[in-house]
Amino acid sequence: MYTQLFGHYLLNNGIIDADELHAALTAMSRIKAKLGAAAIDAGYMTAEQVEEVHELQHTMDKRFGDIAVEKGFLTDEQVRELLAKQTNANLVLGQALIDFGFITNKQFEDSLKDYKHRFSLIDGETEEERMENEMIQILGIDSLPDSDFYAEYILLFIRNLIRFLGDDFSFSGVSRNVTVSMNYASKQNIRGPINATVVLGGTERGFIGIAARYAGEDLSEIDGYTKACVGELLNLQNGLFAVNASNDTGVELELSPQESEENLMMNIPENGIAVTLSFSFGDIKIAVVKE
Amino acid sequence: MKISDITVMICDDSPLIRKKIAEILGRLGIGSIIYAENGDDAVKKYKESTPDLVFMDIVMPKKTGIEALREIRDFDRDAKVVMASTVGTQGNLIAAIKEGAFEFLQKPVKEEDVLKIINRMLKE
Repeated sequence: MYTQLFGHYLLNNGIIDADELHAALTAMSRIKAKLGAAAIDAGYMTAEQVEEVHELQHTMDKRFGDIAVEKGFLTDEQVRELLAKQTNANLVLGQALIDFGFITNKQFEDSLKDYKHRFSLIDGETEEERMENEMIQILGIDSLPDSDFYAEYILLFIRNLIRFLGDDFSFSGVSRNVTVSMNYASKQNIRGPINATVVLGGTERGFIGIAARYAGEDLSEIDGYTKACVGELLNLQNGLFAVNASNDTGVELELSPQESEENLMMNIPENGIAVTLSFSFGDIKIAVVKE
Repeated sequence: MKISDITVMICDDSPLIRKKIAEILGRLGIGSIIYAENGDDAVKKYKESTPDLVFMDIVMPKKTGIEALREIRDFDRDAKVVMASTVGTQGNLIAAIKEGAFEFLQKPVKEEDVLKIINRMLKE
């Protein structure tokens, strides 16, 4: 979960471009991190040591772990630990980027070190809290008025997108104080002690992609059913938000029926936010404006 | 009564939800399914065919599920209406109970929950 954060870091720092990140995110399901990348991630080996073992593998029929232990780079116990960590999402993303030739082992080592340094755990903070706080920073939510509402709402939305659509996306833009456009969108209003307008939409491909993944069906065109699928995902998100508000704070919220929009131009004020996510199937947008 | 003798009405403005609930009912061997797209449609179709069980959404255009529940119960005090909503708030739960809902389901609807409701209905 939250592979997007390390991916976003690599993108923002110019280490990879958006196309390369897309390719790696799409390939992730087929890839398992190699022991070398896992050893760099754990800080057990340097990129130079990994390269040395790789070169030795060309001359001897031995596994990476066996050579690393012989060379004294790793212990048997460390090899067992690393084998268990091979499905770690950041590692798999790094491995995909290395396999495609988009980054070197050295770039992976340096990036991961800097990324971990910048976003290190604060005392008492769980890993999930750390990732969520990092996401709040990346999206600039902490500088918004009503940042508590936006943080809770957007993080819930991202968890739902990961749960229902998948995690093969990167954050490709955060917009405030501008007009954002969406070819197709679904809109819903939250009413009660909290009033907000929320839109989920995107390009034609993005919109169809949301519907197809949410319904678990092969959809290829925009019709009433496609629109209903996107609307239902938005309704589910808002329903869960309302349930949380009711359970946690006793606040009762109501939802309006969802409305379908085409060629929507939505004004995002200074106190609102629109987040663009690039999935492998296309770009989608979440726009939230609290009144 | 056997499962295959039961007639169920699904009332939801979303064709996706109607389809998903119908798939579950089909797997459980429900004999007949009636579809309604909003509260008005549900009240009209209930009066025409008095199904054994109704799955009713709450947030819908034209007439909400709670309003439709009230009208259906005015027509038939024995009506068994399950409110199925993403908005499982205390307020909606209380409104549904007050209007005599048979059950309250939080969406996404799960097969095991539907089966429990049908078993409860058969026992009653």
